[in-house]
Amino acid sequence: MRIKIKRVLILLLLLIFFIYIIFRIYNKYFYVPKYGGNVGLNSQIIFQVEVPYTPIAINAAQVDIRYDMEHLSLEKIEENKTFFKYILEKKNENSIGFARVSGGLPNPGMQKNNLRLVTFYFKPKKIGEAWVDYSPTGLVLANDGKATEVYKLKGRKVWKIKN
Amino acid sequence: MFFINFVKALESEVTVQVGYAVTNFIGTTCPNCLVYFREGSVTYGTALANSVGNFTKSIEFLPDGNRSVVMFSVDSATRRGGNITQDFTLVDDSEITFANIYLLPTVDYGSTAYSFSTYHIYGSSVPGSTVSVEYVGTGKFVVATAGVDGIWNADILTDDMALGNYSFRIKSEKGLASSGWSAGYNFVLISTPVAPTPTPTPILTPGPTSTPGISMVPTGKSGFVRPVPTLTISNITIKSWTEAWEAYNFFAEQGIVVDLKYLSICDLNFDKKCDIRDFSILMYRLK
Repeated sequence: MRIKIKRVLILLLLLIFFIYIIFRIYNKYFYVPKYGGNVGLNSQIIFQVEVPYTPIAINAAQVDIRYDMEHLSLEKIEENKTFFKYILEKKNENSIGFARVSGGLPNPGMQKNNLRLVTFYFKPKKIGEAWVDYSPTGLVLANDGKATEVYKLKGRKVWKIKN
Repeated sequence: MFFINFVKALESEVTVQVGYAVTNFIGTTCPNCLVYFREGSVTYGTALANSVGNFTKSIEFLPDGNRSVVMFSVDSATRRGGNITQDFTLVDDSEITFANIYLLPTVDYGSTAYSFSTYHIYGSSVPGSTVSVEYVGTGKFVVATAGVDGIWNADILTDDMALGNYSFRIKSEKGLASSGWSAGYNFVLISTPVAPTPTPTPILTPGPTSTPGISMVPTGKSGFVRPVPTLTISNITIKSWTEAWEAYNFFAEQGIVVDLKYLSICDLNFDKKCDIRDFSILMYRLK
């Protein structure tokens, strides 16, 4: 009986180890939570872009988003000035629902957990379901002289706009 | 019997009591692409295609009269497709449905091609569709098949092409559906540049003077000025790099042929593009 319990414990530990490994691999990619909740028509939607974990210092990022221009209007873009010492591009194209912030900081870059890059402030335009997508053209790059892509900003966030 | 007839009459009456005009668009495009509906400078709305490229869109309250709605797709990599125009006359309190709309593929291409190399053209279209690319006046015709993710690729070799201006057009077909030919996309074939020196030292030379030769006056667009951010770190002025980077990106966005002198300065990883990756490399070198 004791041997069986030992085996079960070993198997359990192995299982936890594999789950941890899979989690670490999966965690290389940063997915946004899917549902942002209900928001009122007169409220403000705040969409924060964060990199949760950096295995290596990063020195440049390009945050590209697409948003539902039928339901949302992008009012303000606020970049983390500690990271974005230099801004290359900061643009909002409300006519096609696209926004970009790109730039970074010199060597040695920055290594920090839960590093906030950009905050986007949206104003709901009408009742319905609104979404914000990360565009695959977004990049988070390592301070390694080769511009290695460290994270993939990926996913969609959805809000229900109510009266 | 009287009651049933009465209900039927009531139902038919309800269906015609729309109260305003409704225009429905049903069609196919690249998977997960965003379809835009525009007329002139007015955007009536968008529709997000599903994972196999199907989309539907109902637009209410369009103005009565002759309408000319332009549709195009933008894929998840922000590549844009060509315009498809739907002309119709809208009458008040009516509903019109346009089904089987088949949009043009999105496309990514360079406005400059290099001799004796591969010219890359790719984009997204209906999964499984046949994408034809005709290089006008060259006799080159490439047929590609879009994958399940909609991606197609129609590269050509430029070995046998003379230097000069060219254009290509695209068509997508699946079964009986066809997008028709797109308008022409222009590009210019130039000599392959000499490889730049591995260390782009000029951009890191201290001093306030920009690298000579960088004046933003392309042919036919003289007088265009845009504010350029200055990047000065520890007495090292790299204004010329950002100028080059800005110039390259601005011209590329406008579809204007980019002068190689801009490219050779800001393309630090030699991939023939000036993008955020080059900026990352520059930041790394600024120890």
